[in-house]
Amino acid sequence: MRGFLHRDPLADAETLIRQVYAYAAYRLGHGPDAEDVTSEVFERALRYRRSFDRSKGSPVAWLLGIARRCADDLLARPREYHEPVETSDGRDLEEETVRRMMLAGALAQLSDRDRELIALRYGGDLTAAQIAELLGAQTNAIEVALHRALARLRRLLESQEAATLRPTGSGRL
Amino acid sequence: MKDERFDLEGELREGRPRPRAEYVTSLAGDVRGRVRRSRIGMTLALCGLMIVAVASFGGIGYAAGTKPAVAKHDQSSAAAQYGSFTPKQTQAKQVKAKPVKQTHQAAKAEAATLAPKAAPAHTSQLPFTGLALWVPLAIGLVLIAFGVVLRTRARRHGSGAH
Repeated sequence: MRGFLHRDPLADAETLIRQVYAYAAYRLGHGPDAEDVTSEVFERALRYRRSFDRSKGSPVAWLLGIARRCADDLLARPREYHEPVETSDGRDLEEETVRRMMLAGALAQLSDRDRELIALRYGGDLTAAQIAELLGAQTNAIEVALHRALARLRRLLESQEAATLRPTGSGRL
Repeated sequence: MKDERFDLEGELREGRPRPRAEYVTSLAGDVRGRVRRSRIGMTLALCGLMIVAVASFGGIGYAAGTKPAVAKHDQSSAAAQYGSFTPKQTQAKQVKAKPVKQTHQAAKAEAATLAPKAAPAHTSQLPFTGLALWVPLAIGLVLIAFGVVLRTRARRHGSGAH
């Protein structure tokens, strides 16, 4: 009966691609690495989609579980540097680029665990409960860890902002 | 970048990295194509399985064996029900060749031979199998109901996951 109820987990491919890509980009950086991981995730998902069980979670949680392993594999290999891909959605390009670069810089300074949590929460758009299920942890523990990761990210951004403002200020004086 | 000036969570959500549009289109097309191909493959495999199942019980041989018997009669369904009918004009033309009485008798005899074969059309039995008509009808209705229930439950599961 469960087999009959199985629905294609890749039915809404575009949305899932965007979510997986955002997760990968938060972990690895915006560009070819994130695209490689996303493609690899969907390749594996197509191969093993019969094993998808909706009772164990949503399609995006399942895909992000695969993406975690793909990203870990990629991080374990020596990587080439790629220029970040710029995609604008109509907002002020310069301001957006600066903000993105600052955010990317701050994210890069976070620990792997913090980056992973932020990527799952804000890139993959998973809830704390879904992340807890994926990582095999308690929901409360994940909420606390996310809160701390955000606090660390905020501090890093503040210090980055202070560092960019300092030379300009001293030059004026 | 204090909390009140900068909504970090909002920024992380709104400013999440977006893939290139052509990359999304290309990958989504590839995914859909492969899913479709595998579905067609699955359908063909099921059809093959059904043919093998029917063949293993001698269904194909049975169908092939009964075909010539049906063809031998060479009759339409109307002829099977009402017997052969010769239009009056033709009868008139044939008057010279054959007496009317004989033609009428021949038609009567032919109708008599066909009458038992036409009978099943009026009964509620299916040809060849002799199954009562309500049996496949009931099976069909049960299957349709089963499909509707499955579809409804699958939709509910799908919407519940999001």
